[in-house]
Amino acid sequence: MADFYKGIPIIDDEPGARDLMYPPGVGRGLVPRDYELDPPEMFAPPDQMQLIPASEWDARFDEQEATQSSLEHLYLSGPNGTPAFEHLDQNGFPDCWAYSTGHAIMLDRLKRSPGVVPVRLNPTAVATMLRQTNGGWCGLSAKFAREHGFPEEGTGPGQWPKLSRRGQDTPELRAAMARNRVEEDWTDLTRPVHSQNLTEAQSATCSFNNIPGPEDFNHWAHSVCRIRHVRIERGSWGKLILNSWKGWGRFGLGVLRGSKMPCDGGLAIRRTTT
Amino acid sequence: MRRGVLVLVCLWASVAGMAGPVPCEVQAADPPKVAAAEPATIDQLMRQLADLRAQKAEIEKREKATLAELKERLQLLRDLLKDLDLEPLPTPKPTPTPKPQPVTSFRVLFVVESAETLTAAQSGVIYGRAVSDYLTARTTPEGGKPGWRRLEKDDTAESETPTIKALWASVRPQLTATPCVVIEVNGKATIDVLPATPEAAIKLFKQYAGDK
Repeated sequence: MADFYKGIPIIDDEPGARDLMYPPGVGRGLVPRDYELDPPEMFAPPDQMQLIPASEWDARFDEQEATQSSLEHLYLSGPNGTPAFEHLDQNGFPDCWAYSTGHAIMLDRLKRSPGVVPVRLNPTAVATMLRQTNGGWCGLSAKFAREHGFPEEGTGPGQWPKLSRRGQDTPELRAAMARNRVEEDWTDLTRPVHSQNLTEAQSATCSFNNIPGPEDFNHWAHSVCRIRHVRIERGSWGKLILNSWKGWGRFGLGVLRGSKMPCDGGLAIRRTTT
Repeated sequence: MRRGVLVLVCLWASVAGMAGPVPCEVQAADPPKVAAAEPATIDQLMRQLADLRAQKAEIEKREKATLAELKERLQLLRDLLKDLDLEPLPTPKPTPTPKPQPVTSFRVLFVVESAETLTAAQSGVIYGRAVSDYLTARTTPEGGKPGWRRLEKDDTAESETPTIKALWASVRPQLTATPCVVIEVNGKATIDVLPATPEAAIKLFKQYAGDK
């Protein structure tokens, strides 16, 4: 392993990073885009985002550290620096693209209702209901979250069993899902779901505004939730992400650096149902 | 009618006559005449004390009687004014000094517009640990949740606890600028500008919460 940020492993171009990126037995599920089939278009950024220039990043990072006000701090606000909630585990299912959005919704909840453990969502149910059980993109799960909401994990009425493809799509389930809907987001809706993306400047702006978002990485064939942009050392920035693998990184956290940092698909979840 | 006015004038004169000092028939006690070289004896002092107490009792008795008479005459005057369809003069009431009410409920809502980019300082106030810890410890909990939230201006708060939902419904139409902070104390909500620093925010919240 090349390096750490506050004990959180960094994924970069060092050879040791491969072991962290591809541990045996885990599921991923991002379908890398076939550019012959879907050629790249001119990227249209989400409208009206007031970008935070890179010249301000140091000052904002220092302020976040001084006041402990970033999403990283909110996530690790449990007793003795533990997480405020246990992160989700896709457990070998190729549903990372739904887990990344699920994590973003849960982090939005945590941000808005401090001291309250967010309801555990069930992204496996989203992939199952969409009949997309061989992989997908975060834009697709976010579209589902926008239109229907996410199911809750559990065996009670209106819930979907954990890590199961056999839940029941009932009116109770739909009613419960509506409580976990994405209401506002930064998404390029003019693009198909597999090519909705944010520039790094937009991604960083959302990070400094504590707006989480799912991001797809073709080089990893994986989708994870962006939490924050972090300064590893002077002049070296990384992207703090929350993965959906149990026992991975530090409480599911890792840092993407260098060529591993830019995403190939992404959006930011600004507001969910309250 | 003319007779009524006459009676009124007489009564006014009567009341006005009482406005001066009430004659007191009790004479002030002469200072004890004691020989310069000889201090008063215990018996003399006891007698003086008994005299003074008797005078005090007499003064209190006369004060009571005078007050009763005054009330009676004023009541007569009021009755007369009422008969003449004239409003009696309002009795000036002393302005009560407001006493600080004990804080029985204290809730806080930070309100943001998620499309706006906050300044670093604003983020530090809204998301900072010190403010968060204070509010979690101090606000009135409901349904196992602390009594404070970070809301987006377009939130409906449909799934919120009843009090937060009602508070949000009452203040949301009055919001004009974001970010801002809503502070509720004993059912009364105030919309305030966002303090500049976490320290200023905690100071403001302490004032509302009645903390020193």
